[in-house]
Amino acid sequence: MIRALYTAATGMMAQQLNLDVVSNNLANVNTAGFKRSRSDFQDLLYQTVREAGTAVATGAQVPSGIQVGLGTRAASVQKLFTQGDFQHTENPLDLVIEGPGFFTVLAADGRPAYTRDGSFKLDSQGRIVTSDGFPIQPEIVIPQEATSISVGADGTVTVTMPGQDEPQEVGKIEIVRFVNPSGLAAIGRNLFRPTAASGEAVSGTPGMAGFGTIGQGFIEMSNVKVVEEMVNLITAQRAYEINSKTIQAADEMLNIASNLRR
Amino acid sequence: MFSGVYHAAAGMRVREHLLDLTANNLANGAASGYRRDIPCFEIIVPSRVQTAGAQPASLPYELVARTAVDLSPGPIRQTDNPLDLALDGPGFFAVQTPNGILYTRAGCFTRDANGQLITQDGYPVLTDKGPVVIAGTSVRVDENGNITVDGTAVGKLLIAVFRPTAQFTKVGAGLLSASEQPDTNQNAPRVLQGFLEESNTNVITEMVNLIRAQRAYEAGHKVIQAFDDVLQRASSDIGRV
Repeated sequence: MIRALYTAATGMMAQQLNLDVVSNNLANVNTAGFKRSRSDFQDLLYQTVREAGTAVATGAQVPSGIQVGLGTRAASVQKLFTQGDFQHTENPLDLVIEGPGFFTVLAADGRPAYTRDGSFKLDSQGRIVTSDGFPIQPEIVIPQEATSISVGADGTVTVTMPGQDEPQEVGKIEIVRFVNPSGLAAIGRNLFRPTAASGEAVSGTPGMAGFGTIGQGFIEMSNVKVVEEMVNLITAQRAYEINSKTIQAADEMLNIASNLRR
Repeated sequence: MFSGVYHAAAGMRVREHLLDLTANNLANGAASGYRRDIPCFEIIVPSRVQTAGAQPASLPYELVARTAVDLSPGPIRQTDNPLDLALDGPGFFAVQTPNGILYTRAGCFTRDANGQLITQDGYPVLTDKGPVVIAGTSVRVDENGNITVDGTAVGKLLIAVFRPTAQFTKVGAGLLSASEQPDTNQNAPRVLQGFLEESNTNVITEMVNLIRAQRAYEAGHKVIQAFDDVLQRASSDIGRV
């Protein structure tokens, strides 16, 4: 019976985690380039009270044994890299990747990090940087006197200089992809780092086989679907409640057992 | 003295088991592909337990004979994740584990760093060509389980369908082991890509079981108390003038 108490507790803890994941998704519903997470659960160990095929008394066998499960556990919280919706902003430095791929930026610790958030800005040196000031890799510098910036579907960045008719190429945006993007570690600030599970970054030109193309003047919105998260919120809360009822039942039964001796 | 008091105790023990099983079914309400345990209470009557000439056991009624795995389908939910697969009908995905091939209905698969199709615990998912590498960008799985990566066929998912006589033992982590080999003559279910099958725990059934367990426990308690009352009377009242 004490078993039931702990079993129900694992159910409640699982729903707490579920709620944590859902609330983070909902909090990031307006975060550009955010990818929602999903918690997956699976059953825990089983205690075999009696093996299947055990003989009972006069040669009869139990056809299947008694297995009592000990609850549930989180198997994974994985990021789902489905495409988010595009929002038209007309800002020349708002870039999206249509299809798979990540922008590479140089994070504060001097190591590359990867992002889908293409709301870039210029810093004082004219470099293309993220909102946190991390420069895109390889570095692209926009000349100060440039009158317009355009980015092609293949990532070519060209600028128009005053008094010149011909646009001038200043760099090329490279994107990277991973064998298993779900294995990437989110490090906050919309950035990801590779892990042993994601595989190494494979860089390429936008538009190559397996890589998305660049779109200019758009922002990729978060791929969180509010309705779906609200439904998850409801199921998490109800499941939590139901597991608490099991704990109550176990508690009351323990109370009955302890009152056997008056 | 009174064998009835032991019957009542045995009944209470059984309800503890029922509570444990119900607690586990409810705790796994969010585990995709989880198959609920059905508690089956079988009474083995004393005449079958007691052999001729032997002393009757103190608990003559053997209860909670077995648990069975409920293989009825759970609700299928759309997720749009290309590596979420659901089976529309009886059958299992086959998974290679260190303890041999095990079976699961939980189709929330992923890939490792080499692109191999694996479960959340890292066990390879089996196809007709063994474990399969799906390192491309577009992964398509058709209704028959044929996997196509960037336009190239890489294998067909191994879907194990069993005869109705097969018995299943749970290993945990959504995996089951079967008492017999899959039957290749059975029709394979449709494979749905971008869908997940949820747990087949039915909250109403489980809540009813919870109430049943608790109330029957209470009743057993009352019976034991009644025996206690009678015994008390016997020891204190009989013989009093």
